[in-house]
Amino acid sequence: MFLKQLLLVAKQTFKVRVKTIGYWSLVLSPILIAGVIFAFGLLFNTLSSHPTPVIGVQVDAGLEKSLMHSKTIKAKYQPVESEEQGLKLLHQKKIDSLLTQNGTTYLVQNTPKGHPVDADQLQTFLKQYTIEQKAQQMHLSSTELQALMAPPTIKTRLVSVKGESAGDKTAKQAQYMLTVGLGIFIFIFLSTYVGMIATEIANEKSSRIMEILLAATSPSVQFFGKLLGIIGLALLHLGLYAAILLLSWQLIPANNRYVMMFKDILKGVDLNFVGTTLLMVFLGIVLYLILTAIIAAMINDQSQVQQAVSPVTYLAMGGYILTFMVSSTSENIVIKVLSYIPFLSQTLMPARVGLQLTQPYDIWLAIGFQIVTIYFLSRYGLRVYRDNVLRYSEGNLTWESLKSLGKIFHYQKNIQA
Amino acid sequence: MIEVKDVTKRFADKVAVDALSFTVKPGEIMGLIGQNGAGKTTTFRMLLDFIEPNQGNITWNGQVLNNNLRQKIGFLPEERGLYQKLSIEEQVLYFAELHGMNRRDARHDLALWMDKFNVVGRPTDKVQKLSKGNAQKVQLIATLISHPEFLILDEPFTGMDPVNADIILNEIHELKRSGVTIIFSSHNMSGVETLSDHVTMLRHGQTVLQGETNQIREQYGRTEIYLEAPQTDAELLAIPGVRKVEPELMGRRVFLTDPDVGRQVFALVSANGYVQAFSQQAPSLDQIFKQEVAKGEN
Repeated sequence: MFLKQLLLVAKQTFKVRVKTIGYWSLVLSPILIAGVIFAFGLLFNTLSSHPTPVIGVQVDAGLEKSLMHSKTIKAKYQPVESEEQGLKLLHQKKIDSLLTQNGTTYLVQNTPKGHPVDADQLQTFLKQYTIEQKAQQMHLSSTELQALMAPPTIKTRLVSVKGESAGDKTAKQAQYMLTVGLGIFIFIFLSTYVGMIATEIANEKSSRIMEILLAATSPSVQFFGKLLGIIGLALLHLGLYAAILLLSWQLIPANNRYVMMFKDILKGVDLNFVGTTLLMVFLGIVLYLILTAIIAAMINDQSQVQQAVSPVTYLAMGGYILTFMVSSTSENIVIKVLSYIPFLSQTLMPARVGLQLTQPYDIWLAIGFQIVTIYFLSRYGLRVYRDNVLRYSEGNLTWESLKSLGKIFHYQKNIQA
Repeated sequence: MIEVKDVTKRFADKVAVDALSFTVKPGEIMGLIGQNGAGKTTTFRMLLDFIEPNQGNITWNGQVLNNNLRQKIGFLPEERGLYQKLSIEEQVLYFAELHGMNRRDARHDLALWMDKFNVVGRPTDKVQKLSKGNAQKVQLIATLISHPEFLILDEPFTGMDPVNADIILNEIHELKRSGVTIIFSSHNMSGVETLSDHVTMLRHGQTVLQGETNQIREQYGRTEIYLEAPQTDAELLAIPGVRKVEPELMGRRVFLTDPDVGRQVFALVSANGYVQAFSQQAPSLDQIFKQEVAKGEN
């Protein structure tokens, strides 16, 4: 009976929300925003790109030949007989730039209204050409030249204070960046779903539908059913993003510079870290939803939803802001302790793990604390929910919420007694 | 059978319901009356197990309310609540399923109920598009669709026009005949009088009147006469024991201090051998209610 009703409430919560335009605009808005940014970028590139510049060259035959065969500079070349002829062509806008040579000194002259050649590319090319010329004069072979030009290889390897090998800096940075990036995502995600469950409960309470629902079911069915329904929506949301990411991975060519950049970041991230972080994030979201459901039971009408969810959002924001301090204050005892505290640990602990400031069991300890908190918060929070969901208090909502949450410990003491 | 035994509910220092007891058998209707704040809603909330009494117990067929029994309860709250953005079908079917009803059966029955209650609209119409009267009918359908065995109706006639109130009245009679146990509250005393087998009147949580409706009325004696006769008010008031005379419908209502005074009134109005209407009655429930409220205020 309990299970059947629980699934029914969860299904109804899921079904009603998933059909709304609001939910889909929430899911699709980041994709649409990314699409719009991409489209603008493409448009900007198209509009700002100019035709291949034409460079008049009055240089030695070897350089002229090298330039003609070069693929690094996007330009067309037109040999000129003299600098005067070149300047004349430049004034007539028949060429965009004029390159002249005096020994190893080069002069590039551009017309203000033309499409000048990329000076950096040209400078790199000329530098390379000059080195090659000098190497020839010194009778150096191409292998000798390559050996001369090869930069030294420098590898960094850090050893933690605990005496363990701790991987390289790239891995640390990648994992820390991933955590910070994830922190933004978690914060936005939490704010959205916290608001959603609060609205859901407030709507049923303020419209007195809750009385009809509780006449047929128990408060636990409503409490856990709503949570399950909203968690289902959040999982669908995450699942869709994962599917879109996988699809993009398949469709976008592997040599795309963004894909390569992304691969480069992920190269330093190990799968164990990703798995445990995702588990912590999921448990963190569940914790926040339970807390919000308890507080939302105290709402009298829809206008109080924002007031009720604000403290929850601030708490989530606190965890996120503290994540930035992990890197600069790695040995701070407060940060260390807070990284085990549920409601904050979902971003702090992965950040510390990312920066390799922890022992392997630390993240599991934090996950353990989250699971224990979920158990106690749902067990005793349900009583607070039951006491308040049909009570219409006229007092200050924040104060009432704190008073009611304080009762969780009171119930716990009573049960232990 | 619903049995409420010596139930008391306190909120801090305030006693909301004090030592309330009553029994309602299947096929019986009990009217719970009282002013706002008398303890009616608290009683309903205890019956539905929303809140626990501080003292006493409530049983249904000897059992304390549990999830299985809860599914057999139909509840119409005083403040009506429907999901405005859902269609009639979506929400009625949801409520029916929560009561353990098969979705297909509920869909079939919904069409019958909508027809029976003359609901204007289709099952796929959103509730926010319905008129107030139709929304109230849909609310009642949501309460009744799962064929409850125990029905709690909190102010079922509030906001109803006379036509819709009659539809509900007839339905409640039909449910009673089919053996449903019904408890309802109402400020509409004529409705309570017409429907109830028993009445319990609460005042500040205390039970001030309880029993069969007719017995309660008879307890107060036949101290009122409905009269249609040519005599003037002055002539009637001249009879010792006539307290006041008030116009009512086609005639007047004469209030007596003692039922025996009725004989003198009858002698006066029938002196010519004919009187159009003379009916000596016990005070209506409405009158009794007002009297008891006045006593409480004094």
